[in-house]
Amino acid sequence: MTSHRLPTGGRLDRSRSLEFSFDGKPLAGHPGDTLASALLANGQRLMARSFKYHRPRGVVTAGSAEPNALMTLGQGGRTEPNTRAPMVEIYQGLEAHSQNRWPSLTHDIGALNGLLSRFLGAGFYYKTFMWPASFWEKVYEPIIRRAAGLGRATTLQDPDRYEKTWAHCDLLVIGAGAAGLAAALTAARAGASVVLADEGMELGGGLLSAPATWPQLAEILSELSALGVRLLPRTTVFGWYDGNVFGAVERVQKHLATPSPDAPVERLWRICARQAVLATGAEERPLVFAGNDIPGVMTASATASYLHRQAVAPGQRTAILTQGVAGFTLAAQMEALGLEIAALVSLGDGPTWQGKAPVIRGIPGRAIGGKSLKGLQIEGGSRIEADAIAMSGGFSPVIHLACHRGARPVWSDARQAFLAPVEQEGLLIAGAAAACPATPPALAMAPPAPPRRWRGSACARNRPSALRRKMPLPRPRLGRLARPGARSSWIIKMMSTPRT
Amino acid sequence: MRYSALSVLVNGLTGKVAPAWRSPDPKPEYDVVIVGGGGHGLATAYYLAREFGITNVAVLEKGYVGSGNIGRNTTIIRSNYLLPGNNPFYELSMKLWEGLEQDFNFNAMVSQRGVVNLFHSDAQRDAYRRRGNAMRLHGVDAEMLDREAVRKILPFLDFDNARFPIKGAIRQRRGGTVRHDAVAWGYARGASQRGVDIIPHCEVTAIRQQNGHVTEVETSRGTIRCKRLALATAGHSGVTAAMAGITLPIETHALQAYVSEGLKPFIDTVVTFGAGHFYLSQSDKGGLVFGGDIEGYNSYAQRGNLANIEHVAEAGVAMIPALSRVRVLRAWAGVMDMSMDGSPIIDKTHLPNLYLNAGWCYGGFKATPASGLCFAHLIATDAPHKVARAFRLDRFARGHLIDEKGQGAQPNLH
Repeated sequence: MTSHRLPTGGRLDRSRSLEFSFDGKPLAGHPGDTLASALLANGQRLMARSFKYHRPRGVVTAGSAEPNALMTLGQGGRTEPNTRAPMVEIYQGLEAHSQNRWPSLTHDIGALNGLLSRFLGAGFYYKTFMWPASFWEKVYEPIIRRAAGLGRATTLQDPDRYEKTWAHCDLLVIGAGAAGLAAALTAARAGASVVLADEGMELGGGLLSAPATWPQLAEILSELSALGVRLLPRTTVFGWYDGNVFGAVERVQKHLATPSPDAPVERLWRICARQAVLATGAEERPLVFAGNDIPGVMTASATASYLHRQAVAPGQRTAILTQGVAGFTLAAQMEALGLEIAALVSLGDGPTWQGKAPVIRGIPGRAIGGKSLKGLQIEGGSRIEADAIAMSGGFSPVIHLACHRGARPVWSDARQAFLAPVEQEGLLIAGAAAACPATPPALAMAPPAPPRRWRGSACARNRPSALRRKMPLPRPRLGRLARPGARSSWIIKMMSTPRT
Repeated sequence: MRYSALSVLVNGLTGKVAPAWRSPDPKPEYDVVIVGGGGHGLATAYYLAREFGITNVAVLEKGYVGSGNIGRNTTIIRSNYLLPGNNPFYELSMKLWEGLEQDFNFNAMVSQRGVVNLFHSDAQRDAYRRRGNAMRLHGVDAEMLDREAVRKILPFLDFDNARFPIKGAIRQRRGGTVRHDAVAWGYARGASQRGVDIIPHCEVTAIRQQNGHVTEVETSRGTIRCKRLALATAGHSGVTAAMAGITLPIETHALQAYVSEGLKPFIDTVVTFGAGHFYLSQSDKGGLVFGGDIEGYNSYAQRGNLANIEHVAEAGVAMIPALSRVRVLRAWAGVMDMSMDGSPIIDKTHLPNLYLNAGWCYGGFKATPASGLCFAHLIATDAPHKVARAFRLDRFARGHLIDEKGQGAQPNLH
């Protein structure tokens, strides 16, 4: 056992146990677990094989950016291949299977491809398999097709129901982390009709990895409900289209063992928004070193998420590799939980460190291990014994939607990241998605705008005036949108940092 | 270096891989300048060099090589055309596909997996029967499949769909798919090896004339003189032709295409839904590649909208109910040069040294080899290739339309 469940903490219902299976092996977790966290809690770190060389792979993230831990769920007409384990909530009787391996996940013949990797470079297949000419369709292509692909889709009829629906709102907020919640709350208090969508099973985004904020989070969510905001958890906004139409998919009953026939399992939303706020946060970047895909290596924010949300420790001895402060913050949290940090490897200048773990200035050279992590070799330095690595290579704002209609991202030297294209009509960027610097931990809501009538607004009822509250949340700067013709006084002028 | 298993072995041992084509700076003058470095432009350059020995040629591409529709299509090839103006041309294209890998020594993965067009009514069956007979008269393979024969190949279709029951299909076994990017790269490499200059990130901004002849083009990389100028700019044909003062009988529309996440072998043929205009195949990498109708409004934006995505998804699930459990990985759009009769133009213009290749609607990919060969023939000899004689620019004025679909002068419906 390497990764394991902590005795306390997390947003779990420990009073209930849910049985599920992975590759036929019976396992158990709790309500509040994702498939990824439940597998980690059971010490199952090998979850998948890579596409081409069948390298052993584990989970790297705790969210939708997961590149490795893809699985096939369910059976019969409900078989669903290539599902990202961190996005799946476990339920009683869930059956998950690994993919793209033969005869088994642990012993996969396909891994022999790795021995030939130098001959199978990018695009090698354009240069060969041409002789004799008839062999392409008869011999080569069938073999290649069988080797390609990941999961196997079912050909059986899907028994479940789907539906589509429309929503019209003054403001669509995409992402229910600190910035998104602040935006939704401000607009709702000013009487706007608001839709708040988040792809997670719970609203809260990064706050869910910060237990100190949970009481306030609950308060905000109940106020949003009371103000008539349409809260859409488990909803991925997948596209931004002309006329400020957004497409979203709500996973209505994907987390239930037996979906009710009276409701759809998924719902397609077409959301027409007068204005939208993109508050999708930022994705932590992995660091580049040999073996960074060995099961046991994950991003620091994923480690924090598993620790705080599901009380799962990534291993017995964790090495933290960091560019910036994120790794130091995680190290402090882990030491406070009594977990052992093998070393803190800092690639640049770090903050002052008063914890127990040794700080090493260096560059990771190579992770050691095969199906599970054994240690880390520092470039030109020592070897660290560790069974888990948390890595932080800085943050990239999640700006896909902002680029969805053809605008290009803008590189920022100062932030070392691509930022959203500037000034697009109908879409504001907020919080970490705008690469805003860390904000003071206080959210003083601006007094709501004077009451105004919203044409076609569905929720101009609740306008608590002069509401002022203090909450330990990062805060977007509020105010009038200083643009000629801007009609929405509640719209948040997001802190836009000077672009360089 | 000639590509072979040996070259792959040597590359692996030495760790050295040579670029597939040269990256020259533009020269001040060329015999032929081709605007558009997509499939058609690159194929034209390749055949100009290979068939006609004209190698002082530049291909100017505003983006990167393969960034246009050659890198955005659903990769289907077929020659199941009805009309005599079209059929011999597309059949020539099919024959060129069949020998392409050996011809340009690049594995474009031409895969004759067959194209199955489903029909759902008596009227549709009769129309397909007529088409199949026309194909056979032109020497093209075609067969009718009854319901049970379709069921044998594709057991998971929704045969008893309440609105669109499947009654049978027409099949062209020689149709199939090709690895689209490899087509661009193979032609680019073949052309470059023969002396053609391929110049990416070089946008043409103006076409200059003197005494009724084209003399040079202004580009983002300077002025380039040319003895002959050839336009192969697909959805932007209207834009480039306007630089020469020509208004084309073409509207530009966006078309979306889609690919699912990678799957183990699911379907081994191309199948089209006769009732909802939906077409699907599976790539060698495992993604289900599919598409449907154009967006229906004029636009140069390479993006589509949600209504069509829903429409396509619904057609797909109506045909294969199991598709509802498959996730789409990407959706994207290209811009289509929709002509008034749905057929292409390969012709000279009122300027004697300006040549035009346009109007491919959304059938341009399958035509790539023949389009390149026929356009090269026209540029090199000033006479149309015998299978492309009907693709004249003045046919709309003369009434000699090639309306394959029988739709009338409605570009958005072809």
